Amino acid sequence: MAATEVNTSPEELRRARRWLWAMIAVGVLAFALGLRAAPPVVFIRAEQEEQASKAAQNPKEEKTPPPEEQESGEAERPTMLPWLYLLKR
Amino acid sequence: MKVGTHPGSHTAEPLTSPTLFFLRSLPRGARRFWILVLVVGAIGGISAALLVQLLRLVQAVAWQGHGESFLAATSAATGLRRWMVPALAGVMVTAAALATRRPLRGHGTASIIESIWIRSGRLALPWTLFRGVVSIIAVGLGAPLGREGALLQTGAATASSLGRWLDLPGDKIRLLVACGASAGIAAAYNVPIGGALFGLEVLLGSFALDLFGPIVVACVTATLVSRILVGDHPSYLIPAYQLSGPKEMTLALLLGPLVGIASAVYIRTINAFGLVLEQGSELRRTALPVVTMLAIGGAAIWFPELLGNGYDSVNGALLGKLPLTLLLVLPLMKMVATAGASGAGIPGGLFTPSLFFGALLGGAFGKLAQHFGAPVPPGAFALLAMAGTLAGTTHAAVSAVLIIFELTGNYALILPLMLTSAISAFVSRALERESLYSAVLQRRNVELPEPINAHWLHSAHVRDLTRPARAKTLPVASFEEVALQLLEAPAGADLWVVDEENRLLGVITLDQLKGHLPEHSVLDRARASDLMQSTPRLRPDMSLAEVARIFAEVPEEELPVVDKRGLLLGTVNKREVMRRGRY
Repeated sequence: MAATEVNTSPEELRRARRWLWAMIAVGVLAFALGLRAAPPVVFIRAEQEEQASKAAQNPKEEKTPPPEEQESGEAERPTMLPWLYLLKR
Repeated sequence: MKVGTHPGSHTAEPLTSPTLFFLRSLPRGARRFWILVLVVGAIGGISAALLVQLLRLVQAVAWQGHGESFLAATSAATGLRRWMVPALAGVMVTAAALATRRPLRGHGTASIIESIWIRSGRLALPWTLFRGVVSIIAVGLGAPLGREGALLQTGAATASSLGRWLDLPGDKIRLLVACGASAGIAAAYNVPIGGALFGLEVLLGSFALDLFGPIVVACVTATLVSRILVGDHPSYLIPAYQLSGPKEMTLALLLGPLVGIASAVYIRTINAFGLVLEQGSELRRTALPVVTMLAIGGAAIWFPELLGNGYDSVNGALLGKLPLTLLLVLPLMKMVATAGASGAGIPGGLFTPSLFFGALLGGAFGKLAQHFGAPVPPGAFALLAMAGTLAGTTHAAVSAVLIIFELTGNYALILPLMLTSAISAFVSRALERESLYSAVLQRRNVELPEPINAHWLHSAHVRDLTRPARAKTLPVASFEEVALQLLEAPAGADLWVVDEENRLLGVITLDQLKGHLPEHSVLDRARASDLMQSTPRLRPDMSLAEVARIFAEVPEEELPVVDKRGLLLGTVNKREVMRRGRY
């Protein structure tokens, strides 16, 4: 593959590199904050599966209503941190 | 339908429609062009429908969602699938680039602009189609980019091939390419007016009436065809919001600069990733699509909203359903993911991701306003910020307002929509001189000519076009020296006679020198001061409109530029003035 011909000075490239790393840091921070504030869909789904399997094992037990559709984002999410959840499982 | 007869026809031949009547009344060349405009519009609509069906097919196969939204399907998938399917997109792009020995990077709009302005409308159809299909499959597999890139490029490349095949003049091919690209965007979003305005404002940089007609016809045709094939439904689910009170207008006024700043950050991020990731070894560039999509897939295990073009999350923001946390963190993550994917070489549009970025930030603004006691619908601010981001990233406020207005069909929002978009475009342009599209061209050393219009002719000055004088001599130079200097000078260059302080005294041209040859008996005594002529002089602060008027009245190809003291600063070439006003 041929590299694209670019018109950039070394200073511009340095600035771009700094901006790139700053934005990656912002993205990672947003990811961490997102996880902390609203544990993500995967864990809700895992909990749902867990509840469903429990319910299947013990059909007499009252079923827990499933959370609202995830895409609305209004569903109640577990407050547990993901790594803690994984450890517990 | 029988509507009338051709006025010039003696046989009073019946016509079947006003379109036929119009076409028959045109000269042959113009008729062929207008038929091509209709064909390009129809092909734009058909290819948009086909590519959208391909996208749905890929999404259904990859994510096993049937009839559900893309987000519902990706959320229901296992974590492993959410990680591996996007990685597959990276593998596919790398394989395609290796097989074709060409990088697939880019979002398409910049290369269309380059084709229109620099390459006389040339776009290779097979390569563009291949790239479009790869782009659609990548987006279907979860690349955080827009499908519109493929739709725009397919329309433009088809138009370019048809125009060249039928041997149309260069300016008609360029216009036809803009028609094809606009048709693609009109069909992609079901926005005929917005698509036409996008073509005029972003691709052609002019609202001239002779460009307006063909673009509108192509967009209307594409939208009609697409509506027949795909159905007439809005791209986004938008309630009929109303923002007309002074409090709401004040909030819209506040939102404008914030979205303008966010748009500038978005442009800078996309460019920084593009610039840095284009560098490096061949191995690194080859591996980048896979590595980047693995990282995005990894993040999508927790946040499936990051995958694909993000329609469902935008709908969530527009309906005011997303919680504040997600409204704040998702745009930042999505911006980095989009910039990473685009910079790594995954082909796809940046238009839809920018709508995602704006909609969620606007939704967050609305929620915060609500939190502080303003009784406003957050979804309405998501909509305003969508328009603002579009205006801020493309630097095209008119088409941004029209596109979002068409998406909503809600006239009640038009005032805050215009306000937010205009302020956002102004702030973003002040912070980032280049738009999302022109920055790519600038980076690749592609210089677009300034659009010709009265404002530009009056605002550009002689100093912008002044070049150093190529040949100068003193008034005491002999005929032999003058002749030698003129013969050695570059073709078309005149010899400027200046005194020792560089004050301009006159000019000697080669033609003028030839006129002196019959006087050969006295030539050995002739000096430059005897041979020179006077010439009109330009001042550095003169507008190009004045220069054009002077050039129209004199035979000279080049005129000198002097300062107030008469010192020669350089020259301006007639060809350079004409070149700046191209198109």
